Amino acid sequence: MKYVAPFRDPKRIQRVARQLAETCTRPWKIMEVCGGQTHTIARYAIDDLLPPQLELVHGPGCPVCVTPLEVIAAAHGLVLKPNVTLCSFGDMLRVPGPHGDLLAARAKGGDVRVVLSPLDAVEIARVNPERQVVFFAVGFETTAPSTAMSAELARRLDLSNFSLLAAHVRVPPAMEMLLSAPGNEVQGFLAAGHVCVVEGTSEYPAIAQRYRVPIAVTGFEPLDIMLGVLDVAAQLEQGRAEVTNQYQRAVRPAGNPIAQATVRRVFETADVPWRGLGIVPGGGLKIREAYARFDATRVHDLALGTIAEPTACRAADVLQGRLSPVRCPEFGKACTPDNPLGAPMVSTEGACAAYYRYRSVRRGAHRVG
Amino acid sequence: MVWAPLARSPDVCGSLCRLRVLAMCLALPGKIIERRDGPGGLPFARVEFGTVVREVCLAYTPDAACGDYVVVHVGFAIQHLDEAAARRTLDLLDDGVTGE
Ligand code: SF4
Repeated sequence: MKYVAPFRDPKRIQRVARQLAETCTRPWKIMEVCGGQTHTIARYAIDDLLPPQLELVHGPGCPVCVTPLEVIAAAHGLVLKPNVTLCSFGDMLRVPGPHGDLLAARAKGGDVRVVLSPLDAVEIARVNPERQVVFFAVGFETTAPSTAMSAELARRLDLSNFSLLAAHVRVPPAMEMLLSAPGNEVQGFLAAGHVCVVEGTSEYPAIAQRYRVPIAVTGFEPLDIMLGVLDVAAQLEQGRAEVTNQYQRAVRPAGNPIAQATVRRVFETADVPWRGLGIVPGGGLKIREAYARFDATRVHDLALGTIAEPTACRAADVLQGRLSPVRCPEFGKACTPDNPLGAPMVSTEGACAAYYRYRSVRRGAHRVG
Repeated sequence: MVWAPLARSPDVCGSLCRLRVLAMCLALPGKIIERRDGPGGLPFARVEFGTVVREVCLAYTPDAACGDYVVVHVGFAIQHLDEAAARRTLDLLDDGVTGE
């Protein structure tokens, strides 16, 4: 596949690694925002290719990890209703909540379904008119257009038994929040390429300028990551703080305007809680009044309280790049993917899961070069 | 298939299926092999990812044609892939220009 193999080519990757070694003269801390990138970094042992002065810290870009516990609890409440079918992505359904994970609710008779697309949930609603189908919608700007289209399709099909438990979040406000936190050590960013595929790059220059941080829009193959890191490191060495696009095959500066228009029709920007970060101003989306009949919190009269976090899990520190997963005392002991204590050990985009999966194969088949 | 090499490491075998299709910021390049109309007047296509073929909504890339490559995320094509841009990235690197 011409869009995959060349971007995993060990020779090219090592050429960038050599350039990076020549470029880096001082210690730098660069954060990759997206959990998909964390996954690539762990899978291909990219850390091993970096000069020792350069540290990659993992960001909060794991949608499942930042979905607030109270929303998960609300989903549990819905599953216990006899006429409700709850659909979501597999990762979301496996995050431990106050009453176990949502898939486990099946054992108690709950109707819980794993879907690959929000449109699958609309189809389940269409063929089961006697069921109230709720799609538990999580994700970043990348995923919001798909959720928005599910509401739009439900409207076109005039379905009265489909609604969204929506917890969509927006990434740039969270980046700003991390940068303005006291003690922030992040000096540059790899921005999440697939977020930018949808939303474009227009939000980033202001952040780069205000906080004097270089930002490279970066893809997900190992060569993409290396090019993003090289660009940010070169900028840091030269004292520049610009926004560059290292994922040009997929990211246009204006993003995808059709997708943006559909998202804006269904959702509006709101201050929302991110699990591990707290309320992020402008950091999420809420369903507009015009689509209220597809809002599960209104249809099912859900009140979202606040729920205390389990104490042993250090997810908040992991999500802010302050703690490497392997330094969590529970990592690999009480907390494993089969028995996760926190969301970062569940999701494929969670840093803890990525470290756990690839730790034992780091020197094996996937290593580049 | 993109994630196939994972099958070689025993500790991730059980997660392979999940890894392939459910990660949320994971978006994969695929090739459109057939267009068709779907429910609600939305355009759909059959899209090939290596050996796997899936049904994908084209509402956000309405002018994508058969043979085009698109980025697919949770059942939606969210952008065309730009072959010239991919070439440019690789050529710059191969000519040793990147990073200078
Ligand atoms: S290893 Fe487990 S307990 Fe520790 S931060 Fe990660 S998810 Fe939480």
